[in-house]
Amino acid sequence: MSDTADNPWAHLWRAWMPFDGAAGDTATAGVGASDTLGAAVDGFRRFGEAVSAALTGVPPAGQANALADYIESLRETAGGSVDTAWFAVPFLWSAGILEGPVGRGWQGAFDTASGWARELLDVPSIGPQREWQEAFKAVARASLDEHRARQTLLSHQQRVQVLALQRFAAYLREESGAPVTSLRGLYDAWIANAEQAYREVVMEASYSRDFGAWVNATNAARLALAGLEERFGAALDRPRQSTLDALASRQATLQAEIARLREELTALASAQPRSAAVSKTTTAPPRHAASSAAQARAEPAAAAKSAPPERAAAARSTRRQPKAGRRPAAGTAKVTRAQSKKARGAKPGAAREFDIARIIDEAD
Amino acid sequence: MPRLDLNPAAMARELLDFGQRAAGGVRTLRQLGALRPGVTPRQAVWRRDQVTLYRYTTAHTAPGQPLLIVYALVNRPDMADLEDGRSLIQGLVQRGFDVYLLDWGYPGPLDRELGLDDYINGYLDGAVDHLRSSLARAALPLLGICQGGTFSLCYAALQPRKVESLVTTVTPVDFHTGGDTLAHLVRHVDVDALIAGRAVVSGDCLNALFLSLKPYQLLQQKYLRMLEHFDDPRATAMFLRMEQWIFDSPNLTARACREFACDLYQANRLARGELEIGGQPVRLDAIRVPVLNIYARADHLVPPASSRALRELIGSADYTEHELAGGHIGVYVTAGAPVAAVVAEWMQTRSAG
Repeated sequence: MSDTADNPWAHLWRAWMPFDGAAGDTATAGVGASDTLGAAVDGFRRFGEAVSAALTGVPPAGQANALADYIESLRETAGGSVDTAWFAVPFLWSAGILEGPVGRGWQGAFDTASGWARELLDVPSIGPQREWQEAFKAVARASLDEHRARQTLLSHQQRVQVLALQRFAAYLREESGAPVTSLRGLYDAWIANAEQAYREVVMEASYSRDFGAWVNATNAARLALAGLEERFGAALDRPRQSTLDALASRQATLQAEIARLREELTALASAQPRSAAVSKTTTAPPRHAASSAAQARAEPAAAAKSAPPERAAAARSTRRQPKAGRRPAAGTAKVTRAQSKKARGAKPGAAREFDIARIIDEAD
Repeated sequence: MPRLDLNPAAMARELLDFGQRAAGGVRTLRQLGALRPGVTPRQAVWRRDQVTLYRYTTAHTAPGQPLLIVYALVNRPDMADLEDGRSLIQGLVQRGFDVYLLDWGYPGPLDRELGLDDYINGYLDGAVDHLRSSLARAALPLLGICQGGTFSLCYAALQPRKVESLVTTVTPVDFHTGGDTLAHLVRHVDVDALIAGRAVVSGDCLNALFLSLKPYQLLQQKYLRMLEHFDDPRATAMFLRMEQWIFDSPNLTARACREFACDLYQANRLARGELEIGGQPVRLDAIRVPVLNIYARADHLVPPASSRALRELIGSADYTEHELAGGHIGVYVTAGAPVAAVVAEWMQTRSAG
């Protein structure tokens, strides 16, 4: 009989070492590099350890109730213990700090501090630096609003955690249903119950409202910061977002003008007697007729995949080159949008001539 | 039999086995190397800006009925041709279709003003016209995937003479059905503030939203399940291709985001018959061509009720619904390409008729 069979716990730690980031078999190096895999593995291990501890010495007949009791005891103090991390909502598990004596205290302290901060922020700005002060205050106010909105959202996540534990305990106490005979089976049952609890809370009207409030507060904070960034850029006479927007708008106007001229050129060419045959060919090309040059260049993505990194980057870069007269630009005003739409809309007919041969040739 | 029947020693062995299998799987990962999405050869046949129309090549000497696939703006269309034996496109090509796919590309910072009008009346219409011309056909069959299905519906309503038949797959139509988590989350979001100062809404941001629909399964359980199969190179490769596809998320242009979120998710204008694109009303009852509507029974992104609402809104007398087991993505990557089989059977029946 092998050592493993004799004493599985003795070898357990060794088997899991690579996932802890400890030095292990060189063949397994790299698992720890993935936070996602590491978190999944760690969650399952914690789950297994907690279940094993809760069921030590408990005969099968009493296991379900023993584990349910344990789960309910966790629910009483949910969020306050590191040991319960595996129960948490994966990406918002820090919501746990909102509950428990320490969490509540911290939250209260924040509320007090933010109240003071708001009072200070409400003092009018006066003097030559007034505009700067107002810009800073706008960022500070928006940050406080975002923080408050986030805390409200996290309180919903805390409710998810509590409800998930409640559901899981109830599931364990159910007398009907297929028996669970493996740790993985039990873990899947936990996930199913937790997901159900999560959905139940998320589908509440209050969650939708508070989620929207948090997203909106986040955007308000981002825009306040962007306003400050603009102000700094202006003070330092450096290019800023408004500069780029203006350039993009101007570029869009030029692109639209080029497109208009192309269409006029095409119309003129079509109007000439000898061009009729050419026009016929281009508007109704042979089936799948792309020019050989176009075909050769038609698969930059494939080239990117098969080429060395630097060539792949070049291929991607080429593919994403804007085509004159086609691409609308950031910051386009209503006038330029109307102009560029004509180019982009590129209704069949005039523009079709450029579809393969010219457009792709120009791009490459 | 008791609800739980766990043996501490067996649990320890289970954890040990799991750890060893997962550790061993790392070797598989290291041996796999770089994976490329896509199994069916293709060539670009038309391009405008960042949008490319691909034709999937076939060994058939005389390609059969053309079919234009319209994908969503979010995520890449690689999902439709992910792996040998699990590819919608491969399945269609093998069944004799002349398959085309419209790839929207990766919108960048200069694409802020691209909206639904540009995508549908500009790029999609341009691609359709190119094919109508090159294939000498008055109209084409379209197959829309998810948001691409919504686009196809809009296009068929706006350009009924250019669409021969329409297949919608996992397509949202009514955005206000009960149980639509995404619509519920977006309801109170100020979309104008979301896009203010942005050229695009990042793919990462959209991914976070999608992951938040099922965080326990998508961020924990999925990876745990995969770890159990790391000793199987084929399964691991498939998993990694899916991971690559999921997180290779194009940005969404600010205007397209605003229009889709406000007009469809928040105001539900398509189902209410109030949607306008490019100044033209989009009336689903204007669609009179044969329609096949495929939805997934366990779709967590587009609830079946959202897709099935089409039945009451469509103008076509030839309307077929088909339910497939599986989720939003699962129906496309299931072995044997069940979507392709359903589409082929439906289209062949109509061709024969």
